Amino acid sequence: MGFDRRDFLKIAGITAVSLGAKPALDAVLGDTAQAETQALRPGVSKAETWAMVIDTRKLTEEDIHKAIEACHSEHNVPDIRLPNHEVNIKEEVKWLWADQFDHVFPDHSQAFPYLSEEVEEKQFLALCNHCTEPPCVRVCPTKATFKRPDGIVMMDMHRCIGCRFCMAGCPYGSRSFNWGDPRPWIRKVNPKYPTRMKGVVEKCNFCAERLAKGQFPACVEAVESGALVFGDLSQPGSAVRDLLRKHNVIRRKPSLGTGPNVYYII
Amino acid sequence: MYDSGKIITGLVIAIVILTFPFWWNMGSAMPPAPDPKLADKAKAAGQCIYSKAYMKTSHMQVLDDWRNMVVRDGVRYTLLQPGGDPIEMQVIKEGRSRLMAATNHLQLGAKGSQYEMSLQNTCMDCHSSKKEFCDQCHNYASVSPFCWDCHVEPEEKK
Repeated sequence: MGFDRRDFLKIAGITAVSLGAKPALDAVLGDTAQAETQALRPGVSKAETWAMVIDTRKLTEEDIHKAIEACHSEHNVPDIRLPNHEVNIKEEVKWLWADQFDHVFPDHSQAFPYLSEEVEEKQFLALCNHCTEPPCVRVCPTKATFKRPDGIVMMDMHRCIGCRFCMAGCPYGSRSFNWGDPRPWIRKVNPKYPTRMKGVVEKCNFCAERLAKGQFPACVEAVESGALVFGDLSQPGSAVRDLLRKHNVIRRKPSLGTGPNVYYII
Repeated sequence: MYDSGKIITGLVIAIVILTFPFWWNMGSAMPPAPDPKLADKAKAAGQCIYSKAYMKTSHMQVLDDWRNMVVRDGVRYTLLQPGGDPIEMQVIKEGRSRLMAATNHLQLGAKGSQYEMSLQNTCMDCHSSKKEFCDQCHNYASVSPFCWDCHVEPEEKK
């Protein structure tokens, strides 16, 4: 068996081609591998940028109530009422709430004053947008509010001094102040999660404590229709990216440059 | 001496006020020494996550480190590796030297497992009565840690 120059060149050529193809192959295979890993796993779930897509076409009024109830009961969010049992708007504490289109999307409603009746009557779910450039983090004097590497804008209640700069900084009204002890207003305390005390600000934490266990956020889990989709924005194969590719979405007050990470399909 | 009556009366009153705490407590017995009781689950476990001596002196430090790790670094489990391998630091970006020191006091659990760093879900899971465990020493030493302003204590069983 001879190993002539012709064979050598053939093998060398094949080797060169296959070496060159490897990165391309990796890119293709890697994508599918990423798509598989984007589902949350038991243990610690990690991401570069957690994001949420809200499909408002699928989200019913009932879903909204379920999601809010799930979130607020899980996180011991007080339901503060006036003596006549109406919601005390001045002292209300909310992580997740619903409001009409022109309140949630003032930019869009001013640009397009002629809304369809459906959109005009509908309630839209609102929560902390876990902004890419969060103004609340910039103004916090104690760094009680900070941005985690995975994109979650997190609060360290131990550090909050209740100055409420963050509430002035947040353009979305996502933050609430505890004017009094919230405990009397919590219907059933969840013993697995702390409450807050008088004099601190609170907001949605994208269920960081659930993500750490490989669970989806409480609101996402509560809405069975799949109208809330949660995932890693940095992974092209993730469920959120898939929706963003297929649908035109809007975000709340994009002109402010805060880079919200909650997207709405209208 | 001018105004001796006023001065001496004043002095007597001053001495009475200054010594008030001493004679007020005279005769009353020493408060009973703190007697923290271990709940059944803690007894059954036989050991804590850290050694008993270290917990006695530094549990507040442990809790402070835990809260920083959990909230700020997103590390929610103790640094014990399953199977009792040498202790390794997991996701520590800034070296937390105090924690490094604390790891020397780590004890392996019965199963050599990792623990969630959580006052509510881990500590109070074994030490299920705040009244009979935490409060015993805290009341004696007259310290009132503000953990419980937010963290939910387990329901006391009667």
